[in-house]
Amino acid sequence: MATATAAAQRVSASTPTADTAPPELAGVTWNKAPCRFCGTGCHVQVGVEEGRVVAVAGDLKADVNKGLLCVKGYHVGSILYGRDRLTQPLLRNGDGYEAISWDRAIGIIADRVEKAPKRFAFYGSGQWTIPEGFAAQTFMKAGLSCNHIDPNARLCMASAVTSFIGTYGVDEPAGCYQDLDECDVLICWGNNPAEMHPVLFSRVIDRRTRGEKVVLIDIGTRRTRTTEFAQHYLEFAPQSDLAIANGIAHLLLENGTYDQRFVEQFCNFRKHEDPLNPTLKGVASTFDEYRAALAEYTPERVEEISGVPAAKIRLLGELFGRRDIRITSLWCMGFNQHTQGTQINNLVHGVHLLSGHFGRPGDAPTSLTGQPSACGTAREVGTLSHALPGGRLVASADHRAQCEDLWNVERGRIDPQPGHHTVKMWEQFCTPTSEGGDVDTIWVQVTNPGQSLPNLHKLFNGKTGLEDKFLIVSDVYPTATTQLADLILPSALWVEKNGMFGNSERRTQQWFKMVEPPGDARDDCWQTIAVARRLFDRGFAGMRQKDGRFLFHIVGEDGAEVPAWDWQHYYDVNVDEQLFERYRQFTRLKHKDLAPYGEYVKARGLRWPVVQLPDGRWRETRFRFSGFDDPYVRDGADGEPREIDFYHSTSGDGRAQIWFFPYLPPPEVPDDDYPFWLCTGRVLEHWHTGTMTRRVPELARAMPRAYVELHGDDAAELGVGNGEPVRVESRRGSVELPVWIGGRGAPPRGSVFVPFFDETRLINEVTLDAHCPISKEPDYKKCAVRILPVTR
Amino acid sequence: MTEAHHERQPDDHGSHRGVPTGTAMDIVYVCALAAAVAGLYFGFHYNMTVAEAPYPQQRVDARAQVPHGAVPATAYADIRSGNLGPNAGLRTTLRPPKAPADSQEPVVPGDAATKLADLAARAERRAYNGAPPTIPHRVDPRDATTCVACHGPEGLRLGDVTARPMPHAHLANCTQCHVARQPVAAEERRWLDNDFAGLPAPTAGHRAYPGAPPVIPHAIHMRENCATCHGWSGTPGLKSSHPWRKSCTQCHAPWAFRDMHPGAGADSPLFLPGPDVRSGEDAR
Repeated sequence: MATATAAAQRVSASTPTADTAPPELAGVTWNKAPCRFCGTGCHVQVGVEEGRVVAVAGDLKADVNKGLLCVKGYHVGSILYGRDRLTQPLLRNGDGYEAISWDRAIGIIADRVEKAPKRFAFYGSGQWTIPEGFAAQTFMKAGLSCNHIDPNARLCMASAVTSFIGTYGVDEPAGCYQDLDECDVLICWGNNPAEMHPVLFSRVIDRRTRGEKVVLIDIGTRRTRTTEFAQHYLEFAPQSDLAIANGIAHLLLENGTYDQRFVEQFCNFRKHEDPLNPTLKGVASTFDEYRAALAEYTPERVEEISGVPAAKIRLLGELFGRRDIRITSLWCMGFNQHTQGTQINNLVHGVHLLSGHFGRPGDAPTSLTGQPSACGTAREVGTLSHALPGGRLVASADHRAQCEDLWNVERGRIDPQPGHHTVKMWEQFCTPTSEGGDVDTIWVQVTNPGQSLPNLHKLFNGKTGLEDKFLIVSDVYPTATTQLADLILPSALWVEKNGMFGNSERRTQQWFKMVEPPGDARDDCWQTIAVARRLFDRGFAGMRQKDGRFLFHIVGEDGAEVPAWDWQHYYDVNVDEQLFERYRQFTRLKHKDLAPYGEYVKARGLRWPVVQLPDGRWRETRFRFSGFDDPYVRDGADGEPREIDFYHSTSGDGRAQIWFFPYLPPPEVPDDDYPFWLCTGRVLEHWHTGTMTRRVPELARAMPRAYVELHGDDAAELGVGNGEPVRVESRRGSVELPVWIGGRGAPPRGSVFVPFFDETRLINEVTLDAHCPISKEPDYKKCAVRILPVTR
Repeated sequence: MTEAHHERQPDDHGSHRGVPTGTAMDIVYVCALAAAVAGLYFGFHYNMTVAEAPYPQQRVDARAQVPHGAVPATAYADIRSGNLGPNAGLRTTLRPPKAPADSQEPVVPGDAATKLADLAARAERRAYNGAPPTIPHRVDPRDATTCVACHGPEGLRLGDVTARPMPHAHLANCTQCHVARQPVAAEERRWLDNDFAGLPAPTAGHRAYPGAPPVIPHAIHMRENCATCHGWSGTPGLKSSHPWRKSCTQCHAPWAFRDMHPGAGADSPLFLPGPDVRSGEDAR
């Protein structure tokens, strides 16, 4: 077993080196950066000329994308140059805004904190860079002793996290993108990677061009661009993915084709005492109990629940029962944004474990993320209301003590009570103080909850008119969220600042600032440190380490403190590097070891655990828990690394947990009043709420406005034609949209789809805020609506 | 080049004149006769209603005339005579090999001059960019389904002869939109001149910067299969440098307005109003 050493390596933050020189642009300097958008984590080469980004190219040295990008990535440089960039702090004054100085803005935030530190909340993002997230985490949990910090990632991958913990005892995928190169069968579960993770999708599809056989199975609730490439399309009724997964497990047991050796050596069984009140870790179960519980999930029964023909369920069962092929499952929001999000994640991990399709290249249950640093920042830095850095929990006294020591603050500084998760935080913010709303200030960074929260009337618009509530928004453009902001702070974006991201395959990435932000826009990380320093200067005890130093003690090469809180000096040193080196010490507990900052400067990202070899080089890990690759796998009796070792097992015996969970119907189903299913999601050209991509002409022109996809027969019954307006209405709200029949995707009868990128057509006024009982992640994928033709 | 034509319509009133009164059977007979006469008349005039192309009346060496991939195929009627023209060398192959749709053979895209030449040749088969191309070889006007034999989803390549896959979904009635340029037995020019000047094809898609993937410069409707023109079956000037990549719109953006995408309307604001900055220390 290799040993990781903690030798910190000094790296100068000087001029980065140019690498691959793409296209024919003389006089342009090129540097690497991860793409700003999704969780795939492509590297781009950024071309800069005279202080402006002028070109982008796929990075040929990047293992993730091998020189290729998607249409968003190729146009990522344009996001810096929308004409309406925010360039000065703005304070609400009546109906309008007053431009104010940064000094005053920082003072106003400090006032809000001082007024009620326990009623102050930080709402962050999976787009926070790792140092930004670490600064906010430190500010809240060590500085304010307040755990009301949660990221938008709660809306995105919280269910994946709880399932990884429930199944393997530790978060994040075991495999990596190499699985896509080696699988024989790729199953997309409620997932449309052709649009959402295009580079990963084409990585698979292009194998066919090389003559390789890859079977693509699309299990979805509507036909998408992914379906066009699939050999098998299994259309299921919303929520019945639970039954399909159980149906596969049923067949593996009935046919005797489960991997008995793998299960006996590496797995335990787990269940919930009461499925209606599930818990993260449940209770131990047995193979016999598991088998008995699955007995009812015959292919015919699954067909009844899901609408997928029994023959197709058998097809899945047969494929998983084969030992001679490798199967990778891909999923993303279809599983995570689910009122049983944790459970459906668990069940599909379970199918892979039961069938032994795990731990070899190509055999992987792979959960994708939607944001560039959902893994790196939200999950690993743990900017969640219940979490602490490095996979630790607020609720654990040991974990709190470890963090207090690493932060160099006195014991007891961290509040033992977990804070409000996202839905709860915004619910409390939108509840009048007189009615018990216990959050009165939220500082939003790098995200757009005014568009992305579910049930916006309840969770966001409710703030309107509550005079004692104060919303602070750091952003780069005006958004749906700045509509209600009391204080707007202009932020630096992407290569206007130093940064680090962590992608979907545990890959930590680094880039340098390449251009200046516009006007008075400044780094989010600086903003947090500046507020902390203002509080420190005013004598706020939490902003001191236990030896009296400033909580964010940044030093120069001579060891003397650098006033990083003063923007004029922020880039005198590499603040990112210093915060990262501090954060890195938190990562060993759960074997998520990170290398020194300098290693990431040299690489196109490294996948943790990154351990130092005897010769001093740093080695990344592709396949976690697999003896052939993971240095932390323990040796077996023969003195060789075990084949598989789940070394953070919740049962303490090196085994993963195979869960049983029954099919339970969703909280809201179509009825006579609201007869349609509504599913929401993304499109290829726009990234999430579209605040960046909709300002890129090439992308906006390709996909200008939102629409509602409707089945032609439903349209005929409603008497509406293509392009005609309808009102999509639920019990919570409504939005008017043009009908698109035979459009980008094709929903079945009785089902509609609306993308959420359009800030002028907010579908989240319609969606449901019901959420997974364990992960607290809301279900954006299914609620009941009616479609009303609009006559003018 | 552009070319439209006036169709000379037969005088269809003629067949209704002089219908005698009589029994029901008489009426049926007369109608049947009238229909036969009309059919014969239409049949004879068929060739006059089809546009003639600036195309050699005698097929000597079709490849010399149209060196850009699509060449006139041998009319079925001619096969018996043994005059197989450009397909002559392919007789021995009973089951023609499938076109290498997933070929990895190296692609050398044409230079700018080739591209312009290929676009010009392409324009010759259309009245304007976006018009359905005319058929550059003989077809059986009574059996459109034979088109699919070569222009099916896989296309066909026999020696140097390329039959492109149709770029759109299979629509069975091919000659609804595509008409033969070389009439089956056109002997004389029987149409009036027309000065319609068609829109030319764009020569390139806009790029955000040098090296950016170009946006798609044309509508996608009826051109869903990019590979027809830009894949293995495309002419050198239009061929992609990377036809093995299958998910084209991953990198190349379409234009919703041109495709009449229902979300494309420009009648309402795209963005919420920005902050109304009325005053301030350094308000701009």
